[in-house]
Amino acid sequence: MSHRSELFQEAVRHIGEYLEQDVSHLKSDSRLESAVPGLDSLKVFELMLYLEECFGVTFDQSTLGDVKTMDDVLDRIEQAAAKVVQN
Amino acid sequence: MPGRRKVVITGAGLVSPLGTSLPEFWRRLEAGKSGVAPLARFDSRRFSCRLAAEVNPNSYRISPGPYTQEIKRAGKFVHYAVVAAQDALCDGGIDVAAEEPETSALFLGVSTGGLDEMESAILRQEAKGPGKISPFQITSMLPNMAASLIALRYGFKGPQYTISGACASGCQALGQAFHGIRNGQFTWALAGGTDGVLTPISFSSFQAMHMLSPGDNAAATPRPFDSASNGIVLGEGAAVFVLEESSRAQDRGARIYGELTGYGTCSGGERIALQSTCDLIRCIQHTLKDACLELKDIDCVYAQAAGIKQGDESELEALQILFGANETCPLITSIKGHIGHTFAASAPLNLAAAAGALTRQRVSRTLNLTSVCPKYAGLNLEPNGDLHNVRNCLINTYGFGGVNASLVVSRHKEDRSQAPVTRYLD
Repeated sequence: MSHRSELFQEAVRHIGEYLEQDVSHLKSDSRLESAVPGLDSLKVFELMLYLEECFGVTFDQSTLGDVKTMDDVLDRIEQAAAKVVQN
Repeated sequence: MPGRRKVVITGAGLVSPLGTSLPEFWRRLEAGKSGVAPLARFDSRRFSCRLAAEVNPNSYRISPGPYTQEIKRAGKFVHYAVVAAQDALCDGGIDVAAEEPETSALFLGVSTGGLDEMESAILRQEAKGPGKISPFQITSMLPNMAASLIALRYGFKGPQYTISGACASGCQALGQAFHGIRNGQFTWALAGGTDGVLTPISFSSFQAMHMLSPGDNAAATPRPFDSASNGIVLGEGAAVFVLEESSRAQDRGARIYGELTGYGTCSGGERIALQSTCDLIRCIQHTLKDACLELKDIDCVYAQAAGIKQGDESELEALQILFGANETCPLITSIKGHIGHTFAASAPLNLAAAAGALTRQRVSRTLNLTSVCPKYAGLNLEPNGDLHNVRNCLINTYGFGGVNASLVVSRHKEDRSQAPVTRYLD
């Protein structure tokens, strides 16, 4: 299993925890707001805060408004993790 | 009075330190049970008062439904209000979706809103930075969010109002809803009050005002009306009611707990945080006039009395001036020895207690009252809890800033199917 695939599985698990619902249907190109009932833009912002805690990273706040898909989520996690490694 | 619609209570829901069902609440009040205990929510050792009347977090459940996550994310005042509302609607047999839109209204009293959420957010910001604040921070603490999330969850389309009049908030919310139905603005309403202020900053703030009862003796604290009273115990909770135009309630065969018959509110206090005798007298007089009742018609007073010596004495003085000359002085009781001071939920929880007095003909005695100042010995402060002929109950509240508000709730005269028949109804 690739690192990206493992990251995807872990992110889906944490998103399910945050939303307190099963989100195992999510795919990497799923658009979050349409794929998950009740997930609006404010919840996506809060979800990213939750993922910061889960992955021990800090996202660039200026890029969070562009998070639309699962791939966007994974990109932000990888970028933030890379910064942690650099520092 | 001709032309006035009668307004009855047909549903009730509550979250309190004495439980979350109305029968349980009544039984525990009558049995003299106290919800006051050593504070469990956070370490209280640094405060002068280490007691509180907390809601047991396992005693209530937010049922699944729309906006559940937003509700859970909000302050406790929202949790309590939503649970009380869901229970009141269920108890009253009201399906909001089946009701005609815009025939109803929503009135909630809230004093401080999401103080718990605000306090934790400030600590989080200072510890971790502004980027760690939730986008739901504002909506978790806005005082209107209790009413707003109820409206969104159940699809209310009529007006919603959040009233903030400190500890009188819930009384004012009930009163405004009552007048709105009586005047024909809407046919039914959900109304009540909620607060969840048990946070460290509440303790330090009331401690700074020297209003908290010091010590650890939960079995004897607070002591409303007692000559040894030394302060309040902080409480929390909510009570929400379905209020309804009487003929509609009877047409649909609703159970009727009682009839709201009078409401009055006025401004004026001794100082910013102390009620005044003359303003409370005015408030009660306005309320009785609104109810078309006389002093002799009041059988029971659910007092504001919270265990603050000056405030309690001011209320006793007002009641002595008003009722002292009457042959039949009403029973005067306070439930704050049972549940502490629940702020905006205070009058709504008193209304829940009064509904029990009207339907069960039993009045709970004031807990921890052992010695009354001889000056007020003529007042009837020590009911024995046995059957009384309770027709009309007066509920008093006072909020910081000189907010006086009172309600009268009465036995519903058309409803002869419940409770013992008394000489007053013959």
